[in-house]
Amino acid sequence: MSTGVSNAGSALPEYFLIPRKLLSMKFYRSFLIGALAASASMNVLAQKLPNADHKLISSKFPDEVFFSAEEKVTYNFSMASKGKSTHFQITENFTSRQFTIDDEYTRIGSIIYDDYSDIASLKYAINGITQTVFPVIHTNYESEGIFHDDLRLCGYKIDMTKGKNYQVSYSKTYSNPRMFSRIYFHEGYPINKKTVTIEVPDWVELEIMQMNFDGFNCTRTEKEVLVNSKKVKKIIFEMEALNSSENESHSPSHARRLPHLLVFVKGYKLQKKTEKYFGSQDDIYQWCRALTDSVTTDTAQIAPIFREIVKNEKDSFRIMEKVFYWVQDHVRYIAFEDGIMGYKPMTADKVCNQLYGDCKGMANLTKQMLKLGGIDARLTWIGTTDIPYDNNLPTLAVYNHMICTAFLGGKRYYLDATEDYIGIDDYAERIQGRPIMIENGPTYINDKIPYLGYERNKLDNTIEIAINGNKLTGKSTITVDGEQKTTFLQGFSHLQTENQQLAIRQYLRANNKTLKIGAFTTSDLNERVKPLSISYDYEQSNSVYRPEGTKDLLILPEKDFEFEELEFDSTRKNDYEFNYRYYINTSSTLRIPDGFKIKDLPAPVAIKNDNYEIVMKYEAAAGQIKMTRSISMKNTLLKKEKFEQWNKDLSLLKKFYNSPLILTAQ
Amino acid sequence: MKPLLPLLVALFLLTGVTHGQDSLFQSKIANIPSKWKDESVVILEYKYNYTYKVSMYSFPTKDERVKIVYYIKDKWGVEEFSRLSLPTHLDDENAWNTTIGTVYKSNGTTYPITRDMLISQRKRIDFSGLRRRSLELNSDENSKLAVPSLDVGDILEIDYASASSDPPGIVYLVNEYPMLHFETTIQVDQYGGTNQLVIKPHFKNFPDVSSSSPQKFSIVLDTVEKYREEILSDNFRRIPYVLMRYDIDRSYPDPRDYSNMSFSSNGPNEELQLFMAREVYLKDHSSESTYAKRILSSLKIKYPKLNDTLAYVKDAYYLYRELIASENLFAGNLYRNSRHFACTMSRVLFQKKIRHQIFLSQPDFFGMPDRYRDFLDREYGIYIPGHDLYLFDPLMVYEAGAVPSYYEGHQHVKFSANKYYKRYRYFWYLWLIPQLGIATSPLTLPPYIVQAVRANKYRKFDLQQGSFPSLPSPSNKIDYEITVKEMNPADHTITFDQQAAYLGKHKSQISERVIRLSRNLLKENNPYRKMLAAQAIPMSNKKETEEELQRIDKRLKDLMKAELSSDGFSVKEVRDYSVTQSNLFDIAQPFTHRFSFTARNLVWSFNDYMVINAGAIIGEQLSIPESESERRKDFYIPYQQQFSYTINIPLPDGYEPANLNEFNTSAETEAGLFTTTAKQEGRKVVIRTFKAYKFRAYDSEKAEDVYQFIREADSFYYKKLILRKKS
Repeated sequence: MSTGVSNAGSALPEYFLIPRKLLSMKFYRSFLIGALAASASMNVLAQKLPNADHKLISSKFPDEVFFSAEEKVTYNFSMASKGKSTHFQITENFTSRQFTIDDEYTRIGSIIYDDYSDIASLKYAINGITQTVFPVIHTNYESEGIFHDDLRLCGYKIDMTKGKNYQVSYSKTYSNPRMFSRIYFHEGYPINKKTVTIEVPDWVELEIMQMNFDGFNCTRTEKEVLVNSKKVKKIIFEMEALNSSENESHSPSHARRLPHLLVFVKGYKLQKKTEKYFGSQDDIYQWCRALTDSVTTDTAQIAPIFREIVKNEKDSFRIMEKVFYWVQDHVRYIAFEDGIMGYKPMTADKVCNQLYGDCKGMANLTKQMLKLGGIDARLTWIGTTDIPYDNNLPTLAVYNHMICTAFLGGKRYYLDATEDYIGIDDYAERIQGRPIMIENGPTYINDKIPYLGYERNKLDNTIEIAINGNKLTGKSTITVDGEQKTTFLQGFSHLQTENQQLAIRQYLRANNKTLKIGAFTTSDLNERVKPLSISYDYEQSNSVYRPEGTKDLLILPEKDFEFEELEFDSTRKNDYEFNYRYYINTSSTLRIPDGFKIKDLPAPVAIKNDNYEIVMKYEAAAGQIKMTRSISMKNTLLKKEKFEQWNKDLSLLKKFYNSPLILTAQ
Repeated sequence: MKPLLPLLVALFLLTGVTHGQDSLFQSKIANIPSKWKDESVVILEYKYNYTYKVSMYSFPTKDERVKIVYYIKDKWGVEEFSRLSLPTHLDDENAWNTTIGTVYKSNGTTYPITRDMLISQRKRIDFSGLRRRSLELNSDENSKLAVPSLDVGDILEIDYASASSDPPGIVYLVNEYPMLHFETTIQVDQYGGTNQLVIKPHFKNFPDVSSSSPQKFSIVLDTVEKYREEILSDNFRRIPYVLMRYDIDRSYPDPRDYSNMSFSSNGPNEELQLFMAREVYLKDHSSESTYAKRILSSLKIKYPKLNDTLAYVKDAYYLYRELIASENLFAGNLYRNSRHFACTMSRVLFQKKIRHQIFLSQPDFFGMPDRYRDFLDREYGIYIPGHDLYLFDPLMVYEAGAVPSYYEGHQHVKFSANKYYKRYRYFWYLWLIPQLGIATSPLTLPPYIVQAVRANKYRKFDLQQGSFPSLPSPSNKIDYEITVKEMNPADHTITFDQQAAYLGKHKSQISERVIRLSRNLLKENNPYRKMLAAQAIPMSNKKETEEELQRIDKRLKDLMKAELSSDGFSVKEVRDYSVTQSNLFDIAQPFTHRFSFTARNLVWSFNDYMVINAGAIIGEQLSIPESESERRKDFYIPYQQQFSYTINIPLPDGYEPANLNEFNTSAETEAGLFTTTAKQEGRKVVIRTFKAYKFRAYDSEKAEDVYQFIREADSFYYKKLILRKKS
């Protein structure tokens, strides 16, 4: 149905947009998994599948047009020679037999690699015949606005036609076993059968941990074989009917929802050569510490700026505040994943001079400045809520972020300067409750970020409503705190000046086009500690109806419709993750016009369960109708099994929102 | 005092890089108009110089010099310029100086922007542009620099020179930021006197300028407003720009090796382009006959005598379409399909002695009145003068006589092929020149050819200008009939039966989408398949399997669901989709389809009342953004169009409508209209709406004409129908 000249095609399902979609960087990101999980050896695969198998496989994945019939990834360990020296190396051999059920399909594949890994022998075959011409490109990989200096992308294109079998294979070598930590099974396309084989020689010390295997039918077998008269343990994982790993919006991270293996390469002992990698958290700490200790800061360079920031302040808490807020305000976050620089902070003076840095650089600058102020400040490694692992695992996959911990007055303050507009002792949802590792000289301290209540993210809304002809007019004040506040302030501060007023109007309108926002005032938009408040007038059309032939007045006062559109249907594959926990309280009063009385009001709603609480009601008062509404989302995660209950509760919510208040002339 | 002077000089030299925002910048900042007070970034100065030098004994050189001075006024600007992006590859040390620009701090210090600040060098993978299977892929380069220590109030000067860039093609005279001062100079320093720089300024509300000489063009502008997005507009039509292209040089393209063509390469001048395009056509025409023979043979039985020329032409057209569809002729082939079409059709028509011409045009994708790309970008087609019928490549349109929207009203060139179709003698001259490595400058052979043709009385230079027709709004319309099948206030859903009839461009769009998902539609009731099959031409007659049909059915429903969702419906389910009339071979008849769907959040009952979001049934309407309080650009839409809705809402037992009058509205202007009527017909409410865009281009000064009916339609979308239970 087209109603104007707008681009109706923009909301087409994904398979209408395959070529464009495949070219997007988001697509490639999803293949980061693929790069780590890849598989197989060409000669073990049959050269041709009968079309009947295509039919059988495609019927398992009804919404897909491109499939892998079988995918094999084998990892083996060896000593590779480079000149006169040898080094430990992990080799990943990937083979995938693929087909399409579309008459024509363009497959854009990609493999991610970096300074510590390389791609070799990328080739493809059609029905067993290796193709000599294969468009391949190598380029830098870039995620949204974040610079990854060493990540590289190998992209390739295959024009596929229905009825043929395509085989893609490549080898990827990892030269630094410390950077080899995870193996995923899923890819950005459906896989009929996946086999991951890890061939561990007896001279390699290695452990494997299975993550998120519940609900997935994965078999693990082990057998010992002799390779070149040396014992090799083959650990084989087999999984069938793997759906595409493609992200739905508001899905938990891959690490939290997809089955994968955590691989701990602890070291090796071969003849007289022995090397230790990560065998414990202590190993991780010592490695990280060696990197941070190698960073020397020229404090003489940052001292003048520090003095300018704190001026004559003597109070340590105030000094901490000033430094923390200065770094937030002045140092722009630009991420670097430049090989070892993914783990090694930039020097504080460099960050201070160039006024940009990644989390490590910002944490280090905060630390060094606080030390100048006489505060005990330390670097702290943390995995955000996207990371499901405990601290005690001997893998770098535990940490994806760095902050600074200040020890002051017997209390620890966890300072994440990448989080703009956050106050001291307040913590963003993404780090709350997460385990941390704080530097402590030769040892380390394990701790946790406090888990704050959902009440932190409180939104209070008070509204006075009056009937004005066929419209409602209102005066409203919203007061927001916590994540609601920081999200607003972060978004607002990054807007162009000319769009800021407009953006506030749009925020207040909450996509309700029947609302016209009038004058508004805000509290200080640079304030971090106190809640943010906005007072405004509005006019709401299509909200007052006078049915012909009656004395009745129908009023539809709802304007915000929180969560109304969040209904789940059977197509949703993953759990739903809210951006943060919500706590919304609305209190409205509607003045009853002279000569009218209440005829009927919608019934109250009261819902309470472990995930959320919703209480809504109208009450008659002297010359007024009072509406109170409270919505508490107590967890960020709504599990798929709770969707049915959510939909039922949402129906009550919607009825409350959309049922009119009925007044009648006396 | 004496000893102090050298010290002062030394100090000055040492701090020579710290003169900061000098008085020149300060005076410019002072001149920023107050209307730009909320701008994030103002360009104080924008200079672009381009020089093209041709030498007899060396390759041409292209020198480009860009200088842009940005004044950063807010935090957004700081963020934006801290990650400076340049559309080029800075790794090439030969092409770039180390210093790319300078930051002038508001505190008086300065520092250079250097290639050392390069953070990311990225190629955008663009496989779509791949013309042949090769390891070399087309890609755009993009260099990102992290510029340190920027702050509000800083000035960032980008100043770089490049010796090997491509020709600029288009130089825009507006920017995403307002410009206090803009100037550009483009010149050709050439050997000989025949090469010519062609510069075409296209802009409204800008000075009417022309090049001072054939070899030099310059323009200076002050206080230039920034470019701004607006609804119903076409950027390339409304953004002022200068278009430049070159006359032919030694690297001019080989007309035969199409796969080697680069669209950004220098092209010949327009007359020579047209001439080359015709030569290429004639060359192909002389060799292409297989498909023409098949078509002629297939039509022998139906047309023992040619008594209906128009019917014959259309049948031939559809047979050609069927041939390429069934044999997948051009799968994976990015050659110029339209030339093959024109050659084949012309052969057929020539054999039947049907008078026709070949037309040459370029698609109006970018709204450019003139093109700067090379001649191979031109599309070929057939024109039948007696019937005023244009036949486009059937890969672009589905019906004989249909004109794609991006050609509507657009200029084209026609030439006759009847008499001289076998003569393409100049093709080989054109082809030989680059093969032999002959420098054209001293010989100027291609221009010589044009002159020779002009002088040749036996070979008429018969290129004629013309324009394609532009259709009024009733030619591009959708008629919807939507009937409420079931209302369920308990779960707030309504189930609808929807029928829709599409004509013109809307028909092309919907049929293209549906055919893309279901090739079956092209096969069913297709007389042309049978005609071709009768000629024992191998055809793929494989029928879809049950699974394939199910998959197609699901895709079609998904397509409808996506379209409904984009119109603001919260769709629960789409059922029973069917194409009722495809009319793929008749431009005058509509494409019609029907289906049912259930959508959420549309109906509520409370007390004696039922509230229906009836306005929403016509789908979300275009709304005027708050930011568009003052219209700047002229309006432009690809084609005129209209939409009508008939909405039938059966009244539930015991209920009567209580606010029908609110559904009778009208807004009509010179630009368009939106009218609605509502009445009770027996036990149902019938709401009719009609929306028409009666313009293709419209003056921004009369914006209210457009806004008025747009606003009325937008407001209608939110209207609720109140039903009251009779007591």
